[in-house]
Amino acid sequence: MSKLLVIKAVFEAYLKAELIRERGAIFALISLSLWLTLFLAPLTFFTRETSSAPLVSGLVFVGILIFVSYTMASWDWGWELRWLLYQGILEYVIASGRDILILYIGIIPVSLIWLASVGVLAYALLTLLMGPPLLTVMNPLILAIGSLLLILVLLSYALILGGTTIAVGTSGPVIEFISWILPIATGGLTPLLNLPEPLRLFALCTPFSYPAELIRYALGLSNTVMDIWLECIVGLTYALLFFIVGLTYFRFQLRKILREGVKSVAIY
Amino acid sequence: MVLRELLRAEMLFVYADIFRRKSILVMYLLYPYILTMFIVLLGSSIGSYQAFKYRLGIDPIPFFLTASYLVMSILAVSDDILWKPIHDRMLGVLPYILITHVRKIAYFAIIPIPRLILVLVLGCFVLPPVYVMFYGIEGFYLTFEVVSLALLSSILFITFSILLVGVLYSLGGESWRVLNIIRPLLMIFLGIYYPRFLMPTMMFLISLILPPSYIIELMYRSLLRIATEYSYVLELLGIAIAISLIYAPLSSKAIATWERKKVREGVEV
Repeated sequence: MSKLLVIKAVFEAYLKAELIRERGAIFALISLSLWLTLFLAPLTFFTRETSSAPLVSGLVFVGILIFVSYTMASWDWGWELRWLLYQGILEYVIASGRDILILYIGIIPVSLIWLASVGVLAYALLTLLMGPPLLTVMNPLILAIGSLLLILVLLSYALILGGTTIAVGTSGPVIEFISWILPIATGGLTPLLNLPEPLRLFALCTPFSYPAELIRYALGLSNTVMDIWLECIVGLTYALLFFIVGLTYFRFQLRKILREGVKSVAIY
Repeated sequence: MVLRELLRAEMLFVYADIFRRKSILVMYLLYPYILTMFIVLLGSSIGSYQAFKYRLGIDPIPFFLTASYLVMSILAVSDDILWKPIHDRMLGVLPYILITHVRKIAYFAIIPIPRLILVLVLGCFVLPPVYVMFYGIEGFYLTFEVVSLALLSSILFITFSILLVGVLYSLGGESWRVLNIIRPLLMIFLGIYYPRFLMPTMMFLISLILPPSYIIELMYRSLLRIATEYSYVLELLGIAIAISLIYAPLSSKAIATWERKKVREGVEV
């Protein structure tokens, strides 16, 4: 019961701070729509005369959502621990005797609300700029598996990033670099079939490419580079292993900072 | 004398921070490439590289690298100036800055110079590898041209940025949320990723009030090898400089208004 109260308190606090206070969500969505317009407008130069506008729009839509999911995992989940440390809140969380991960259970719904809002905004924007995105669920089961894998992989990534940022003192620009390069290099933005061979192999060696491929396949936007069920099995195994590694690493780093203290409290 | 002191202090402040945190320096170098990769990969996945070349007559890689480098140069000016009062307030030093004898217009005009120099130096390292690969030895000349025009457009943006600080912060206080809307809006209207001569009329008309948009148009005309008469080049340069100069007294007044408002009402902490 008390755990539920903590989760509710965290959820309310983040919802108010991030989305409600000073009309944060509205300002952020306007800002995001402008950034998206800035980067989407030149994409129209790439379209072929013969290409289907809804298909193109659908691919961009999925690319945007996956990119925003990575950003969310980097900043809202991974970097958040460093931010809490900087503000002196993390010490209280540790001293309360509760598991730090309880914070995530409260934060994740806020992040998902934000992601859903971005989805609606991106859909509207793409409809205006390129035409309504083609979003037909061809295989609901694969879509569910892909979405689940995406959350699992991003959570694992956030645990590794969070563990590293509190233990080593990683700075903001490094996180920024990672959150840009990761979706680009691992097939988050582009179907693996369209990537150059070396980059495709690299992407397949990471757990990140599988959820994106499954989601695109389930929405009928692209084919996968391997058999779909094999992709599901490999993706699921990889995601579970990655999660175990992430959780173990995070617990190890947490024990380390409890023993040795943090390397750097400064955030910049 | 005061200007020299200000410049020295700002340089020490900026360069000490950047050389202390080498990750920022690396990010400066990598950013134009990351943004280029982002757009080119996404673009290629939804269409084709060839379609881009057919439409604009240029390879997308040098085009977007130039555009991304321009983003860095323009943001060096606008971000430094627009964010400064917010950072100063957050750090608690804004009241001290307000009571100094330094003229605030001079203070704000000096702020972006150290970072601008850095971006220009970095331009000389970031652009040549790609330009030389695509254009051969001519790539060095193109680097010089792009870096010089980026410098000019950024300098011409200083007065407008100060005017924006004065007007925005006098009316609504120092709000980073509003700034997060203004920044991408400026990038769109400047025609950085989507040249302004291809923009819809309404957007084109708004872009006319931004001095760097003329220089950026000039840069794209050169990059896309659009035949441009010498008189039109001079016209674009002249209008950009004239508009920037017109903004100078206005920005001075706007900053003075903001300063008076702060002195009268106090600084929020």
